[in-house]
Amino acid sequence: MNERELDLQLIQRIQNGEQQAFALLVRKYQTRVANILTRYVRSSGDIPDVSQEVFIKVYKSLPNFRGDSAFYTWLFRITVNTAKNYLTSQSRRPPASDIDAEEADSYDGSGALKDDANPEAILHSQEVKQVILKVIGDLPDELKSAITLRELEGMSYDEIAQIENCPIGTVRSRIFRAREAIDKQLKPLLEN
Amino acid sequence: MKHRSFLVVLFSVIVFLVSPQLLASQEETSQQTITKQVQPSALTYLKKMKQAYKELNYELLYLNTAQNQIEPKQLIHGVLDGQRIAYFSYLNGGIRESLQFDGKISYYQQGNQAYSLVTNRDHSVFANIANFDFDSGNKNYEYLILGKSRIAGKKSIAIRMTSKDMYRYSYIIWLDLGSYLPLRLETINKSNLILEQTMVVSLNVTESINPWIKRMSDQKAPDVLHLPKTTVKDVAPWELTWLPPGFKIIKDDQHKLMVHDTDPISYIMLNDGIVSVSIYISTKMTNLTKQQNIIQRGGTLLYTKQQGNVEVNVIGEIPLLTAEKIASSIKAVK
Amino acid sequence: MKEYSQDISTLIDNELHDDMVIKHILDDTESQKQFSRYQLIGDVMRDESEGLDLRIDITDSVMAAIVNETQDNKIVPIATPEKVESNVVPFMKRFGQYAIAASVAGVVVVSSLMINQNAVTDPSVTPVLNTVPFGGAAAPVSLQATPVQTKSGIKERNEHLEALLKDHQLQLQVQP
Repeated sequence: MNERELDLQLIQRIQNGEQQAFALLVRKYQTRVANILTRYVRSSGDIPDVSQEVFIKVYKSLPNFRGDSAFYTWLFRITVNTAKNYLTSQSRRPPASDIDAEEADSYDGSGALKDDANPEAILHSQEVKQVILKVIGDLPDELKSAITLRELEGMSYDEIAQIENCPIGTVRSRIFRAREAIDKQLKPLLEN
Repeated sequence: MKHRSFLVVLFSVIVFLVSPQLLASQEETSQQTITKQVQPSALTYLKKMKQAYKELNYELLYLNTAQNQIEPKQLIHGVLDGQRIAYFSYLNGGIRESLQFDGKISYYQQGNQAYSLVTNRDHSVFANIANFDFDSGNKNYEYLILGKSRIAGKKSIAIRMTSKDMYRYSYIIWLDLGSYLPLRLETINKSNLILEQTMVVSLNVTESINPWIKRMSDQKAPDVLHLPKTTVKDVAPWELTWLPPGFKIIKDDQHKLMVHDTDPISYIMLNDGIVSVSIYISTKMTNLTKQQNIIQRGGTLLYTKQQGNVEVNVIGEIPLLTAEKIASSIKAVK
Repeated sequence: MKEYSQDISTLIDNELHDDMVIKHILDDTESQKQFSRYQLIGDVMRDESEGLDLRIDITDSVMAAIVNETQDNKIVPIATPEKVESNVVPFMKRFGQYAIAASVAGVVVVSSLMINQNAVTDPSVTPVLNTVPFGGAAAPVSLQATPVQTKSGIKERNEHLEALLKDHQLQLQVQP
């Protein structure tokens, strides 16, 4: 396994008792976890709470993590299970007394109302997205292509270097320059 | 579902063609398959709903849910000599009811004097959706059958009207498969969050009109209240340089607000066949900490934007993005 | 002082094994935030941030809960971070604002068009419409750090918004 894999480096530290390293796993995965939860958790206001529950469970089970699957796969499983538990604890409705058992495509909607998405949050998240996409759009082609191959295609520096026909060190600096340019606009948006 | 039924039919036809010796036994089954599987399109269902909503005699008890508030209400609808009569009432709290008939809607409230307004639009609960022009509406919405369910004890079918752009909300409508009347309506944003829900809990369709609303329609309607007309100017000195697709300007005037005795305010109303949006433009600024202010209840948004010395307020069942674009597109008429 | 930004970027991409860099990030709040933002860029590009409130960062509350967990086996509810860590406070502040946004102080919306008695007798008097509270919230509360509005300012503003909402309702009734 790749010794540069960040997840494994962090997990090793945590397993060696360096609790603080877990913060970086949370930082790395909180958006993805929240995104998975939106498929299950109706009330958007509950997502931070359920996310927190997921990470606490992950932390508690880390001693059992053997690294035979990718950390993300494992995290995903815990997230989905937590979401399902949440749904069970939330459901107040009796089981659907559905007619048409043979209709496999029975549609029951969601039953309960979802909370309003907080409009300010939506506006903010749209703004963040627009800013990021705008900066990427304005980047020089070689930076745009490097960050896209990395983030969207998930390619390693080595693979990108082959495609772009440049040294790995150049890939590394192009991706960083792209992030730096985006971050300059992004930072003020995330600070209160 | 559609694909599956298509395949079944296709398969039966192939068997029918290639195995003449099976003809006798197959004919019956394939015939059944075809009749069973021909399902009307979503559009057909929606048009049947439109007709049923206008033409049948029925009584609905329903709930409206927006955020955490629930209000039980009642609608009795009947048709008398081709004329529609709609009676509406809140079931909880003080008596508040209305009757719409013969080009007027009258409001009655306990302890207050009743009054009427002149209107030719249906104001009942599902009217905005049920009276939509579904044929030309496919420019802005896609119609899709989601599946079957049970609502208010009735076998129903769920149809999704998905907005083709990000400037309007989508809807899911459940129809009673017996009468085609709407049973449930959800307003949904682009992240599939339900903003507002109306659910029928009891539906009763009758052969003849409810005798009580028939008697009500015989009585003289309360006095008509005319909204004060503003004489300043007929046309607002503002224009929109952008309209969300499918929306038209249906009103453009200056009038005083009904509550305070304010200066006349410029007003524009947009409509897309389902949703109406009010735009208020004023050079009088209210006290805001930020340049924009957002208030939302259910699907209804109140968006305020101040730019330069102009304040724009946009109100309606539209996404924030749409309100924001509308407000930003306001320009003074040169 | 060494500039770590590029190392953070490389670390995120699983292309760096350097204990010192990780150690530095863990010790430096700014670097942690930068790490989060770099991560967020990818999440947004992959459309994984759709519908989420990106202003919320649960790291501090998770870490506080874990510290507590190991101490006395108790989970700290997310809304009551109580630990000494100073960066727990901004998180709480954000939640406070969320709550305000959700209960928009005192503004009302019209649920039906009903008018007061004295209105009809004199058609020139504009009717007062019956309203229901917006979201059921009571008194206006403002915890925002931005310039504090006076009570009367808020009241005036809400009355204006209410007037607009009522007019909107009325316009809907009489629209062509």
